[in-house]
Amino acid sequence: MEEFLKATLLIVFFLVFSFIASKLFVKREKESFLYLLGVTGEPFVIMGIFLSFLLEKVFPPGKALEIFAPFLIVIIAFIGFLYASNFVVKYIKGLEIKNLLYVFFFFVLSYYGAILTLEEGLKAFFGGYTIVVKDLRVLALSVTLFSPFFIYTEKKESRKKKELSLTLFISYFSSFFAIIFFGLFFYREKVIRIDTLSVRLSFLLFGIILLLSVGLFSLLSSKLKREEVLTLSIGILAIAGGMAVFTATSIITVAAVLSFLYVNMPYRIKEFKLIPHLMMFEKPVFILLLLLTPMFLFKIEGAQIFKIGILLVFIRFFLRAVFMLFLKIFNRRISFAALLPYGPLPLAIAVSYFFIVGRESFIVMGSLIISQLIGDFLSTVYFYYSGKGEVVEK
Amino acid sequence: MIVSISLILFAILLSKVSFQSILPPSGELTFLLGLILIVSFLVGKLSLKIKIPMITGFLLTGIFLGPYILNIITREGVKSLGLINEIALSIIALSAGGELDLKELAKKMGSLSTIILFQVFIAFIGVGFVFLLLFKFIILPPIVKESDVTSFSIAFAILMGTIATAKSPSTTIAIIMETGSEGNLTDTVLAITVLKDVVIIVLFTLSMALASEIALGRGGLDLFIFYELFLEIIVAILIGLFIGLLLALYYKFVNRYNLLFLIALSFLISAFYFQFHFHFLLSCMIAGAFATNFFKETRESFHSSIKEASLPIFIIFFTITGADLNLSIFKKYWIFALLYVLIRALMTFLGTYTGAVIKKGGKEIKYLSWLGFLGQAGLTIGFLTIIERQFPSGGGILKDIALGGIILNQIFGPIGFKWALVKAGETKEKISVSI
Repeated sequence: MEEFLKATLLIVFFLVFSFIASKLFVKREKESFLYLLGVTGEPFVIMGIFLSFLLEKVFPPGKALEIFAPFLIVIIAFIGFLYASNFVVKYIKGLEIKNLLYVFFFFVLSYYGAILTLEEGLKAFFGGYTIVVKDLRVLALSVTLFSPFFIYTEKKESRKKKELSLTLFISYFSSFFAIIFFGLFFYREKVIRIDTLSVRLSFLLFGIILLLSVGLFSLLSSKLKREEVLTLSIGILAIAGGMAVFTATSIITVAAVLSFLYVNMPYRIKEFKLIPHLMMFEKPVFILLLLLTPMFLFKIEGAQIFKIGILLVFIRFFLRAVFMLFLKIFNRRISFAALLPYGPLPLAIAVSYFFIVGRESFIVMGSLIISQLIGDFLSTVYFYYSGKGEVVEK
Repeated sequence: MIVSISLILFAILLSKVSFQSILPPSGELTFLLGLILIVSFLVGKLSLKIKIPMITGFLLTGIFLGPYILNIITREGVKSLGLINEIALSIIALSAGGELDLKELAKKMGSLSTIILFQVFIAFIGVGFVFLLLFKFIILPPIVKESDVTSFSIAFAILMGTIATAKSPSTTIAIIMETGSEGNLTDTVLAITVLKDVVIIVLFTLSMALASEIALGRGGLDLFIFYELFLEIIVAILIGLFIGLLLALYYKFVNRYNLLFLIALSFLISAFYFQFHFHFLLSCMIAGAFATNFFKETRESFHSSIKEASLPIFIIFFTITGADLNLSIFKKYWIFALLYVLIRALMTFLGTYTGAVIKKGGKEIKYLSWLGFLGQAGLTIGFLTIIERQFPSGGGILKDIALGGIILNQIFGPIGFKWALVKAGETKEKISVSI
């Protein structure tokens, strides 16, 4: 209990400290570098790394995670749900075959490009580390992800709507595919823990009821009050997250599928109230994720994850630049600044991965945290020094 | 309706396959939390349709899902959710304090203290006397040695009288928030609830010392007890002021992610409580009152963040409270439990009425306010655990009878209080029934 008190003290201290730091950053002028850092959530990742280091001193290994696991599960489910809520098919601009082909190309280029370059890159630049296949797959998938929460756009006067809409289109589809593929990859990776017929049947029934609830919820949510919608959403996400952990499948994928079904139910979109309500909690949830995820960081040898993380950042930047060049061939442009930020999805995938394979996921998690920290920092630097942009908080 | 029935059916099915044994711990806890939130919410909504408070619906859901009926929330589940429960209780207590207007409280201090005095005195004497007879002639003779029956009866009657004076601040605040009530009755009940907490803590400490002296020949009423108690209350007040100051400073200078901060703060308070066992309810109430009364700019942000969090918190807290109620005990001692509830209700009415008549209170205070003091929960259960520990022979029976009474009080208390608020015309009736 003494350990619990110390850990709680540390977390609250760091949380408040991060809030203050973020407030100070965001208070700066919109064009300033610190403002950009504040918006990307950089203070929280840095605080999270300090925090995880201190928590490791206080707690025996794995204990901190045990306490915070339910919170993380709900947070990951929330991020998956919120992200996929953008995916209202009939309102997606630019839904045409040509654009889908661009997405397909981007996805294949990023995924296979990362698989090919990651291991070779490590051997060439860092003296060789071998990554197991499933880790490699997750790391490669993270390269296909976009930040759904912060969209970098060019200044209003020079903003080209067509460019941005293609960027958004690719970002929605590519990230959605990545989340679905991630779930499919690992659904059969591990032996499913359901072992008796009655349990299987009851969980099948559960699946049907959950889908039914989501459907009805989507129809009724326009009639509910804000706090009621929120309560039901947390409930559904907690059930979905708990179930995902139980069946050793991806939390973020389950939540994203539910969200996709929810937003694509046939009903009048004007009454659609859930997403704006949930968006209010987007930042606190992102902050908690950034603050809690680095808890995994010091569980393994730091040098390895640091090297993988750095390499991942450069592979990501490189592949996106290649994609831009590819688009140029077809005379299409895309906002490079909008391609860069990491956002919470890679971390959410990493934590989902933890709940599938357990401690074996630490290399992936550590690497993604490092790449998030460095990648978002570099994209902020790029954005700032390119001198032509502003951050629009979505 | 369909969703709620499907989920409850699913919950029943799950109980048959005892999923808890196969879910990994973190998955199980998260799953349970989700199940509680959805099923309790839907049952709460249905209960509104039949004009009973949502929290009664939450409690009933807890009882049904709990270890004594469906066993979906197992004893281990209740234990694992203990921390979340403490966090919820901290937030409820903070909001109870935040609702207090100290200026108004100061104006009404005379009438409030008179009502508290009569409530406590009459409930203590009335319930104590009836249970003195019951313990001496019916309950204790088969259990304790003949020579000890009288002394134990007196000791237990003192403790039973004290238990009868306790009430549940969380129930009061939940009903007030649920109904959006405002007015004289609401303010009086809330103020008495908070102030009475201090009186009850003092009374319980004194009663324990006296009962131990009478029944066990140890404990005694010496000055050290007063000193210790005084120190405990002072420490609780100081902690409360410190938390309140933190809260106010945060709202004043940062004022971002307020809900997250409130949850983090409650987490911290619970962690301190687990480590140091101070009167954290009192501290939280003082913190809430201090932050909102001495730092006016805090009030609005504080209330809006509390409002945002209140529904899931009430659901979790009252469902777990329901699941924790031991129904097997109730089956055994239901007659004594019922008697306890009826006498306590009568004495609470008499005490409140007398106090209100002396201080010339309004009709709503004289005839309706007593209904706000029937609910009993956390604090009372805490007292009973201490009694059982101090009196291994016989203390268990006292605890079981009172727990049986708590089950009834907790189910019917909120219904009564909501009815009183509606009758006094202080509710906003802004709850929409849409499922």
